Amino acid sequence: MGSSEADIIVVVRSYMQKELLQSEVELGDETPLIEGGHLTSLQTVQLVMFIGEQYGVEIEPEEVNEDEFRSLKTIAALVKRKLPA
Amino acid sequence: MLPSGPMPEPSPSEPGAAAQRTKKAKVHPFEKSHLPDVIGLYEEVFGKSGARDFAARWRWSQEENGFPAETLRWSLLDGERLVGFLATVPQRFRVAGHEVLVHSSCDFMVHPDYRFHGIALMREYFRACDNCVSLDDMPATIAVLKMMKAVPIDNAFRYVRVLDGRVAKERLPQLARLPEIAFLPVTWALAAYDAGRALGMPRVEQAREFDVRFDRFFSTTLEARSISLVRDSTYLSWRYGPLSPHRSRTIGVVTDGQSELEGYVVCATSPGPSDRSGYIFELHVRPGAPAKTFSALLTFACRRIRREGGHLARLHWIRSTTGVPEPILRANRFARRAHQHVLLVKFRDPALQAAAAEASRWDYGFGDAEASHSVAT
Repeated sequence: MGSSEADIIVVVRSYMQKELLQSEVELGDETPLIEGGHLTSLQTVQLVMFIGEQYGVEIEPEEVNEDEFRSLKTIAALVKRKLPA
Repeated sequence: MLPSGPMPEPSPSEPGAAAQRTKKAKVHPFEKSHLPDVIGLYEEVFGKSGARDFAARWRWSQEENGFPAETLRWSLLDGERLVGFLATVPQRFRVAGHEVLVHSSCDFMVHPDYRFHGIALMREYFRACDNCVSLDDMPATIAVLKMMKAVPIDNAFRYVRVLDGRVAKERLPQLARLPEIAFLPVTWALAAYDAGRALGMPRVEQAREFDVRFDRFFSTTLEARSISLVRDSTYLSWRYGPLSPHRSRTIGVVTDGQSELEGYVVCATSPGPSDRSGYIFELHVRPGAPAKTFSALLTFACRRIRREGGHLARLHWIRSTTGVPEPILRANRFARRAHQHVLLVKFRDPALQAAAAEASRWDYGFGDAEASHSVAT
Protein backbone atom coordinates (compact mmCIF):
# COMPACT_ATOMS: atom_id res chain seq x y z
CA MET A 1 0.00 0.00 0.00
CA GLY A 2 1.54 3.29 -1.11
CA SER A 3 1.63 6.22 1.25
CA SER A 4 1.90 9.16 -1.08
CA GLU A 5 -0.98 11.66 -0.98
CA ALA A 6 -2.12 10.37 -4.38
CA ASP A 7 -2.19 6.78 -3.07
CA ILE A 8 -4.16 7.84 0.03
CA ILE A 9 -6.69 9.66 -2.14
CA VAL A 10 -7.29 6.47 -4.15
CA VAL A 11 -7.86 4.38 -1.02
CA VAL A 12 -10.12 6.92 0.72
CA ARG A 13 -12.12 7.57 -2.46
CA SER A 14 -12.71 3.87 -2.95
CA TYR A 15 -13.82 3.43 0.69
CA MET A 16 -16.17 6.37 0.52
CA GLN A 17 -17.77 5.21 -2.72
CA LYS A 18 -18.16 1.58 -1.69
CA GLU A 19 -18.88 1.79 2.02
CA LEU A 20 -20.15 5.25 2.85
CA LEU A 21 -21.99 6.46 -0.21
CA GLN A 22 -22.71 3.02 -1.69
CA SER A 23 -22.79 4.54 -5.14
CA GLU A 24 -20.46 5.57 -7.94
CA VAL A 25 -20.73 9.25 -7.08
CA GLU A 26 -17.95 11.17 -8.85
CA LEU A 27 -15.53 12.31 -6.18
CA GLY A 28 -12.74 14.43 -7.59
CA ASP A 29 -9.66 15.16 -5.53
CA GLU A 30 -11.07 18.58 -4.66
CA THR A 31 -14.80 17.85 -4.64
CA PRO A 32 -16.20 19.62 -1.57
CA LEU A 33 -17.21 16.72 0.69
CA ILE A 34 -18.97 18.64 3.45
CA GLU A 35 -20.57 21.41 1.45
CA GLY A 36 -21.49 18.81 -1.16
CA GLY A 37 -23.38 16.81 1.46
CA HIS A 38 -21.17 13.72 0.99
CA LEU A 39 -20.13 13.53 4.64
CA THR A 40 -22.55 13.43 7.54
CA SER A 41 -21.29 13.33 11.11
CA LEU A 42 -21.77 9.54 11.28
CA GLN A 43 -20.03 8.95 7.93
CA THR A 44 -17.17 11.15 9.10
CA VAL A 45 -16.77 9.04 12.22
CA GLN A 46 -16.77 5.88 10.08
CA LEU A 47 -14.16 7.40 7.79
CA VAL A 48 -11.97 8.37 10.76
CA MET A 49 -12.17 4.78 12.04
CA PHE A 50 -11.31 3.39 8.61
CA ILE A 51 -8.28 5.67 8.31
CA GLY A 52 -7.16 4.61 11.78
CA GLU A 53 -7.34 0.91 10.85
CA GLN A 54 -5.85 1.35 7.39
CA TYR A 55 -2.90 3.60 8.22
CA GLY A 56 -2.45 3.14 11.99
CA VAL A 57 -2.84 6.85 12.64
CA GLU A 58 -5.10 8.45 15.21
CA ILE A 59 -7.09 11.45 14.13
CA GLU A 60 -7.91 13.66 17.11
CA PRO A 61 -11.45 15.03 17.57
CA GLU A 62 -10.05 18.57 17.08
CA GLU A 63 -8.83 17.55 13.63
CA VAL A 64 -12.28 16.46 12.50
CA ASN A 65 -13.25 19.85 11.17
CA GLU A 66 -14.34 21.56 7.97
CA ASP A 67 -10.79 22.42 6.91
CA GLU A 68 -9.24 18.97 7.30
CA PHE A 69 -12.23 17.13 5.80
CA ARG A 70 -13.00 19.63 3.02
CA SER A 71 -11.94 17.26 0.20
CA LEU A 72 -10.10 14.01 -0.52
CA LYS A 73 -6.99 16.12 -1.03
CA THR A 74 -7.13 17.73 2.43
CA ILE A 75 -7.89 14.38 4.07
CA ALA A 76 -4.90 12.81 2.32
CA ALA A 77 -2.69 15.69 3.45
CA LEU A 78 -3.84 15.16 7.04
CA VAL A 79 -3.13 11.42 6.90
CA LYS A 80 0.24 11.97 5.24
CA ARG A 81 1.21 14.48 7.97
CA LYS A 82 0.44 11.91 10.64
CA LEU A 83 2.31 9.02 9.03
CA PRO A 84 5.83 8.37 10.30
CA ALA A 85 8.38 10.01 8.00
CA MET B 1 -32.19 16.46 12.45
CA LEU B 2 -29.57 14.59 14.41
CA PRO B 3 -31.06 14.38 17.86
CA SER B 4 -30.04 12.17 20.72
CA GLY B 5 -33.66 11.08 20.40
CA PRO B 6 -35.42 9.06 17.74
CA MET B 7 -34.51 10.69 14.39
CA PRO B 8 -31.62 9.08 12.48
CA GLU B 9 -29.49 10.96 10.02
CA PRO B 10 -30.71 10.63 6.44
CA SER B 11 -28.84 7.95 4.57
CA PRO B 12 -26.88 9.22 1.58
CA SER B 13 -28.48 6.50 -0.49
CA GLU B 14 -31.92 7.99 0.12
CA PRO B 15 -33.32 9.87 -2.88
CA GLY B 16 -32.24 13.47 -2.76
CA ALA B 17 -29.87 12.99 0.12
CA ALA B 18 -26.73 13.29 -1.98
CA ALA B 19 -28.03 16.48 -3.51
CA GLN B 20 -28.49 18.00 -0.07
CA ARG B 21 -25.87 20.61 0.66
CA THR B 22 -24.27 21.08 4.06
CA LYS B 23 -24.03 24.73 4.95
CA LYS B 24 -21.62 26.55 7.18
CA ALA B 25 -22.35 27.01 10.87
CA LYS B 26 -20.51 27.83 14.08
CA VAL B 27 -20.90 26.73 17.68
CA HIS B 28 -21.74 29.52 20.15
CA PRO B 29 -22.57 29.51 23.85
CA PHE B 30 -26.32 29.21 24.31
CA GLU B 31 -28.14 32.45 25.12
CA LYS B 32 -31.63 32.76 26.58
CA SER B 33 -32.76 34.51 23.40
CA HIS B 34 -32.05 31.24 21.50
CA LEU B 35 -34.69 29.29 23.42
CA PRO B 36 -37.69 30.06 21.14
CA ASP B 37 -35.64 28.86 18.15
CA VAL B 38 -34.52 25.74 20.04
CA ILE B 39 -38.16 24.89 20.70
CA GLY B 40 -39.05 25.80 17.10
CA LEU B 41 -36.41 23.40 15.79
CA TYR B 42 -37.81 20.66 18.00
CA GLU B 43 -41.34 21.40 16.80
CA GLU B 44 -40.25 21.00 13.16
CA VAL B 45 -39.59 17.33 13.86
CA PHE B 46 -41.82 16.31 16.74
CA GLY B 47 -44.84 18.58 16.23
CA LYS B 48 -46.56 21.03 18.56
CA SER B 49 -47.47 18.69 21.41
CA GLY B 50 -43.99 17.14 21.41
CA ALA B 51 -42.52 20.64 21.55
CA ARG B 52 -44.76 21.54 24.52
CA ASP B 53 -43.42 18.58 26.49
CA PHE B 54 -39.89 19.42 25.37
CA ALA B 55 -40.24 23.03 26.58
CA ALA B 56 -41.43 21.81 30.00
CA ARG B 57 -38.61 19.28 30.14
CA TRP B 58 -36.07 21.99 29.18
CA ARG B 59 -37.21 24.21 32.07
CA TRP B 60 -36.86 21.28 34.47
CA SER B 61 -33.52 19.95 33.23
CA GLN B 62 -31.89 23.28 32.36
CA GLU B 63 -33.24 25.81 34.83
CA GLU B 64 -34.42 23.87 37.87
CA ASN B 65 -31.60 21.34 38.34
CA GLY B 66 -29.25 21.52 41.32
CA PHE B 67 -26.47 23.27 39.38
CA PRO B 68 -27.97 25.96 37.09
CA ALA B 69 -24.66 27.87 36.90
CA GLU B 70 -22.89 24.70 35.71
CA THR B 71 -25.51 23.80 33.12
CA LEU B 72 -23.52 24.03 29.90
CA ARG B 73 -25.19 24.25 26.48
CA TRP B 74 -24.38 25.45 23.02
CA SER B 75 -26.15 26.67 19.93
CA LEU B 76 -25.16 25.98 16.33
CA LEU B 77 -25.72 29.18 14.37
CA ASP B 78 -25.62 29.99 10.67
CA GLY B 79 -25.41 33.76 11.00
CA GLU B 80 -28.41 34.59 13.15
CA ARG B 81 -30.26 31.35 12.41
CA LEU B 82 -30.22 28.58 15.00
CA VAL B 83 -29.65 25.25 13.25
CA GLY B 84 -28.70 23.00 16.15
CA PHE B 85 -28.11 22.78 19.87
CA LEU B 86 -26.64 20.60 22.56
CA ALA B 87 -27.72 20.91 26.20
CA THR B 88 -26.19 19.12 29.16
CA VAL B 89 -27.54 18.25 32.56
CA PRO B 90 -25.03 18.38 35.44
CA GLN B 91 -25.20 15.72 38.16
CA ARG B 92 -23.03 14.94 41.17
CA PHE B 93 -21.26 11.57 41.09
CA ARG B 94 -19.09 9.79 43.60
CA VAL B 95 -16.23 8.05 41.84
CA ALA B 96 -13.79 6.00 43.90
CA GLY B 97 -14.24 8.24 46.95
CA HIS B 98 -14.18 11.55 45.07
CA GLU B 99 -17.20 13.70 44.43
CA VAL B 100 -17.22 15.20 40.94
CA LEU B 101 -19.65 17.03 38.70
CA VAL B 102 -20.60 15.05 35.62
CA HIS B 103 -22.36 16.39 32.53
CA SER B 104 -24.66 14.32 30.34
CA SER B 105 -25.83 15.55 26.93
CA CYS B 106 -29.57 15.52 27.50
CA ASP B 107 -30.80 17.22 24.31
CA PHE B 108 -28.95 17.28 21.00
CA MET B 109 -30.33 18.18 17.57
CA VAL B 110 -28.90 19.34 14.24
CA HIS B 111 -30.87 20.45 11.19
CA PRO B 112 -30.26 18.08 8.22
CA ASP B 113 -28.76 20.85 6.10
CA TYR B 114 -25.99 21.13 8.71
CA ARG B 115 -25.48 17.47 9.42
CA PHE B 116 -21.67 17.49 9.48
CA HIS B 117 -21.70 20.00 12.32
CA GLY B 118 -23.13 17.65 14.95
CA ILE B 119 -19.50 16.72 15.56
CA ALA B 120 -18.61 20.34 16.36
CA LEU B 121 -21.30 20.51 19.05
CA MET B 122 -20.21 17.21 20.54
CA ARG B 123 -16.53 18.29 20.42
CA GLU B 124 -17.39 21.48 22.34
CA TYR B 125 -19.23 19.41 24.93
CA PHE B 126 -16.22 17.15 25.48
CA ARG B 127 -13.81 20.10 25.47
CA ALA B 128 -15.76 22.09 28.05
CA CYS B 129 -16.86 19.30 30.40
CA ASP B 130 -14.29 17.44 32.50
CA ASN B 131 -16.53 14.45 33.12
CA CYS B 132 -19.06 13.07 30.67
CA VAL B 133 -21.45 10.16 31.21
CA SER B 134 -23.96 9.08 28.61
CA LEU B 135 -26.48 6.27 28.18
CA ASP B 136 -27.48 6.16 24.53
CA ASP B 137 -29.08 3.87 21.98
CA MET B 138 -28.54 5.93 18.79
CA PRO B 139 -25.73 4.37 16.70
CA ALA B 140 -24.76 7.76 15.26
CA THR B 141 -24.46 9.36 18.69
CA ILE B 142 -22.61 6.36 20.12
CA ALA B 143 -20.12 6.48 17.23
CA VAL B 144 -19.47 10.19 17.77
CA LEU B 145 -19.11 9.66 21.54
CA LYS B 146 -16.52 6.95 20.92
CA MET B 147 -14.62 9.25 18.59
CA MET B 148 -14.54 11.79 21.43
CA LYS B 149 -12.81 9.01 23.40
CA ALA B 150 -15.74 8.15 25.64
CA VAL B 151 -15.29 4.53 26.69
CA PRO B 152 -18.16 2.01 26.55
CA ILE B 153 -18.53 0.55 30.04
CA ASP B 154 -21.61 -1.63 29.92
CA ASN B 155 -24.94 -2.22 28.19
CA ALA B 156 -28.43 -1.63 29.53
CA PHE B 157 -31.03 -4.15 28.38
CA ARG B 158 -34.75 -3.66 28.10
CA TYR B 159 -36.91 -6.00 30.14
CA VAL B 160 -40.69 -6.18 29.96
CA ARG B 161 -43.39 -7.97 31.93
CA VAL B 162 -46.94 -8.48 30.75
CA LEU B 163 -49.52 -7.12 33.21
CA ASP B 164 -52.69 -7.17 31.14
CA GLY B 165 -54.06 -9.73 28.69
CA ARG B 166 -54.96 -6.99 26.21
CA VAL B 167 -51.28 -6.82 25.25
CA ALA B 168 -52.04 -9.84 23.04
CA LYS B 169 -54.81 -7.93 21.27
CA GLU B 170 -52.51 -4.94 20.74
CA ARG B 171 -49.54 -6.99 19.50
CA LEU B 172 -51.06 -9.87 17.56
CA PRO B 173 -53.05 -8.82 14.46
CA GLN B 174 -54.95 -12.15 14.40
CA LEU B 175 -56.41 -11.32 17.83
CA ALA B 176 -57.18 -7.66 17.14
CA ARG B 177 -60.83 -8.34 16.29
CA LEU B 178 -61.64 -10.07 19.55
CA PRO B 179 -63.51 -7.95 22.13
CA GLU B 180 -61.52 -6.69 25.10
CA ILE B 181 -63.61 -8.77 27.45
CA ALA B 182 -62.07 -11.91 25.95
CA PHE B 183 -58.74 -10.97 27.52
CA LEU B 184 -60.07 -10.24 30.99
CA PRO B 185 -59.49 -13.76 32.35
CA VAL B 186 -55.80 -13.51 31.48
CA THR B 187 -55.55 -10.13 33.21
CA TRP B 188 -57.35 -11.51 36.28
CA ALA B 189 -55.02 -14.48 36.39
CA LEU B 190 -51.95 -12.23 36.20
CA ALA B 191 -53.33 -9.93 38.91
CA ALA B 192 -54.18 -12.89 41.16
CA TYR B 193 -50.70 -14.31 40.67
CA ASP B 194 -49.14 -10.98 41.78
CA ALA B 195 -51.51 -10.65 44.73
CA GLY B 196 -50.60 -14.16 45.86
CA ARG B 197 -46.88 -13.49 45.55
CA ALA B 198 -47.14 -10.25 47.52
CA LEU B 199 -48.52 -12.17 50.52
CA GLY B 200 -45.29 -14.03 51.13
CA MET B 201 -42.99 -11.06 50.72
CA PRO B 202 -41.76 -8.12 52.82
CA ARG B 203 -44.39 -5.38 53.07
CA VAL B 204 -43.97 -2.46 50.67
CA GLU B 205 -45.34 0.89 51.79
CA GLN B 206 -46.01 3.85 49.58
CA ALA B 207 -43.93 6.93 50.46
CA ARG B 208 -45.21 10.41 49.64
CA GLU B 209 -41.83 12.13 49.33
CA PHE B 210 -38.11 11.45 49.25
CA ASP B 211 -37.40 12.20 52.90
CA VAL B 212 -34.24 12.03 55.03
CA ARG B 213 -34.42 8.22 55.06
CA PHE B 214 -33.23 8.35 51.45
CA ASP B 215 -30.17 10.37 52.53
CA ARG B 216 -29.39 7.78 55.18
CA PHE B 217 -29.97 4.94 52.72
CA PHE B 218 -27.52 6.53 50.31
CA SER B 219 -24.84 7.21 52.91
CA THR B 220 -25.09 3.81 54.59
CA THR B 221 -24.69 2.00 51.27
CA LEU B 222 -21.74 4.10 50.09
CA GLU B 223 -19.30 1.25 50.50
CA ALA B 224 -21.15 -0.69 47.84
CA ARG B 225 -21.27 2.34 45.60
CA SER B 226 -17.80 2.78 44.21
CA ILE B 227 -19.23 4.74 41.28
CA SER B 228 -22.64 6.25 41.71
CA LEU B 229 -24.73 9.29 41.10
CA VAL B 230 -25.35 11.07 44.42
CA ARG B 231 -28.90 9.81 44.71
CA ASP B 232 -29.84 11.67 47.91
CA SER B 233 -33.21 13.19 48.80
CA THR B 234 -32.34 16.55 47.20
CA TYR B 235 -31.48 14.92 43.91
CA LEU B 236 -34.46 12.52 43.95
CA SER B 237 -36.85 15.36 44.83
CA TRP B 238 -35.69 17.21 41.71
CA ARG B 239 -35.53 14.10 39.51
CA TYR B 240 -39.13 13.12 40.28
CA GLY B 241 -40.33 16.52 41.51
CA PRO B 242 -43.31 18.64 40.45
CA LEU B 243 -41.56 19.98 37.33
CA SER B 244 -40.13 16.63 36.29
CA PRO B 245 -41.55 14.67 33.35
CA HIS B 246 -42.17 11.89 35.89
CA ARG B 247 -43.96 13.86 38.58
CA SER B 248 -46.78 11.27 38.61
CA ARG B 249 -44.31 8.77 40.11
CA THR B 250 -45.08 6.30 42.84
CA ILE B 251 -42.48 5.56 45.51
CA GLY B 252 -42.52 2.17 47.22
CA VAL B 253 -40.28 1.43 50.23
CA VAL B 254 -39.37 -1.61 52.28
CA THR B 255 -38.17 -0.77 55.78
CA ASP B 256 -36.34 -2.71 58.46
CA GLY B 257 -37.26 -2.96 62.16
CA GLN B 258 -35.93 0.57 62.80
CA SER B 259 -37.99 2.11 59.98
CA GLU B 260 -34.86 2.61 57.91
CA LEU B 261 -34.99 1.87 54.19
CA GLU B 262 -34.02 -1.59 53.10
CA GLY B 263 -34.86 -0.70 49.51
CA TYR B 264 -37.07 1.43 47.30
CA VAL B 265 -38.65 1.52 43.90
CA VAL B 266 -39.88 4.46 41.78
CA CYS B 267 -42.29 3.83 38.92
CA ALA B 268 -44.63 5.82 36.69
CA THR B 269 -47.17 4.94 34.02
CA SER B 270 -47.68 6.45 30.57
CA PRO B 271 -51.02 8.18 30.16
CA GLY B 272 -51.74 6.14 26.99
CA PRO B 273 -53.48 5.43 24.71
CA SER B 274 -50.53 5.10 22.31
CA ASP B 275 -48.26 3.64 24.98
CA ARG B 276 -49.81 1.63 27.79
CA SER B 277 -46.57 1.00 29.63
CA GLY B 278 -45.31 1.66 33.09
CA TYR B 279 -41.64 2.30 33.74
CA ILE B 280 -39.57 1.26 36.73
CA PHE B 281 -37.02 4.07 36.92
CA GLU B 282 -35.35 3.21 40.22
CA LEU B 283 -34.99 0.01 42.19
CA HIS B 284 -32.24 -0.04 44.79
CA VAL B 285 -31.80 -2.37 47.71
CA ARG B 286 -29.28 -2.38 50.54
CA PRO B 287 -26.51 -4.91 49.79
CA GLY B 288 -27.07 -8.13 51.72
CA ALA B 289 -30.85 -7.72 51.83
CA PRO B 290 -32.78 -10.90 50.97
CA ALA B 291 -33.82 -11.56 47.38
CA LYS B 292 -37.43 -11.27 48.50
CA THR B 293 -36.91 -7.52 48.98
CA PHE B 294 -36.25 -7.12 45.24
CA SER B 295 -39.24 -9.30 44.39
CA ALA B 296 -41.49 -7.37 46.78
CA LEU B 297 -40.54 -4.06 45.19
CA LEU B 298 -40.94 -5.44 41.65
CA THR B 299 -44.35 -6.90 42.50
CA PHE B 300 -45.44 -3.63 44.13
CA ALA B 301 -44.43 -1.67 41.00
CA CYS B 302 -46.20 -4.13 38.66
CA ARG B 303 -49.43 -4.01 40.67
CA ARG B 304 -49.31 -0.22 40.80
CA ILE B 305 -48.69 0.10 37.05
CA ARG B 306 -51.56 -2.31 36.32
CA ARG B 307 -53.86 -0.26 38.57
CA GLU B 308 -52.89 2.89 36.65
CA GLY B 309 -53.85 1.27 33.33
CA GLY B 310 -50.46 -0.03 32.23
CA HIS B 311 -50.43 -3.22 30.17
CA LEU B 312 -46.66 -3.70 30.34
CA ALA B 313 -44.04 -3.00 32.99
CA ARG B 314 -40.72 -1.89 31.53
CA LEU B 315 -37.33 -1.86 33.21
CA HIS B 316 -33.99 -0.99 31.59
CA TRP B 317 -31.58 -3.28 33.38
CA ILE B 318 -27.90 -2.48 33.83
CA ARG B 319 -25.47 -4.16 36.20
CA SER B 320 -25.51 -2.23 39.47
CA THR B 321 -24.27 -2.88 42.98
CA THR B 322 -27.61 -1.98 44.57
CA GLY B 323 -29.81 -2.85 41.58
CA VAL B 324 -31.85 -5.96 40.94
CA PRO B 325 -29.77 -9.00 39.83
CA GLU B 326 -30.79 -10.31 36.40
CA PRO B 327 -31.82 -13.81 37.65
CA ILE B 328 -34.27 -12.22 40.10
CA LEU B 329 -35.72 -10.14 37.28
CA ARG B 330 -36.26 -13.29 35.22
CA ALA B 331 -37.73 -15.13 38.21
CA ASN B 332 -40.26 -12.29 38.43
CA ARG B 333 -41.39 -13.02 34.83
CA PHE B 334 -39.56 -10.13 33.20
CA ALA B 335 -38.41 -11.01 29.67
CA ARG B 336 -35.32 -9.53 28.05
CA ARG B 337 -35.66 -7.73 24.70
CA ALA B 338 -32.93 -7.29 22.11
CA HIS B 339 -32.79 -3.49 22.28
CA GLN B 340 -29.96 -2.05 24.34
CA HIS B 341 -28.41 1.21 25.43
CA VAL B 342 -24.67 1.72 25.89
CA LEU B 343 -23.14 3.43 28.94
CA LEU B 344 -20.17 5.54 27.82
CA VAL B 345 -17.96 7.64 30.05
CA LYS B 346 -15.02 9.97 29.91
CA PHE B 347 -13.40 11.39 33.02
CA ARG B 348 -10.60 13.93 32.58
CA ASP B 349 -8.66 12.54 35.57
CA PRO B 350 -6.96 9.30 34.39
CA ALA B 351 -7.34 7.73 37.86
CA LEU B 352 -11.09 8.32 37.83
CA GLN B 353 -11.33 7.07 34.25
CA ALA B 354 -9.47 3.90 35.21
CA ALA B 355 -11.86 3.35 38.13
CA ALA B 356 -14.89 4.04 35.94
CA ALA B 357 -13.74 1.50 33.36
CA GLU B 358 -14.67 -1.35 35.72
CA ALA B 359 -18.32 -2.09 35.09
CA SER B 360 -18.66 -4.11 38.29
CA ARG B 361 -18.02 -0.98 40.40
CA TRP B 362 -21.01 0.90 39.00
CA ASP B 363 -24.18 1.60 40.89
CA TYR B 364 -26.37 2.94 38.13
CA GLY B 365 -29.97 2.85 37.00
CA PHE B 366 -32.13 3.95 34.09
CA GLY B 367 -33.59 6.82 36.12
CA ASP B 368 -30.07 8.26 36.49
CA ALA B 369 -29.66 8.51 32.73
CA GLU B 370 -30.57 11.36 30.43
CA ALA B 371 -32.06 8.67 28.18
CA SER B 372 -34.91 8.30 30.68
CA HIS B 373 -35.83 11.99 30.70
CA SER B 374 -37.86 11.86 27.50
CA VAL B 375 -39.92 8.81 28.55
CA ALA B 376 -43.50 10.09 28.67
CA THR B 377 -45.46 9.25 31.82
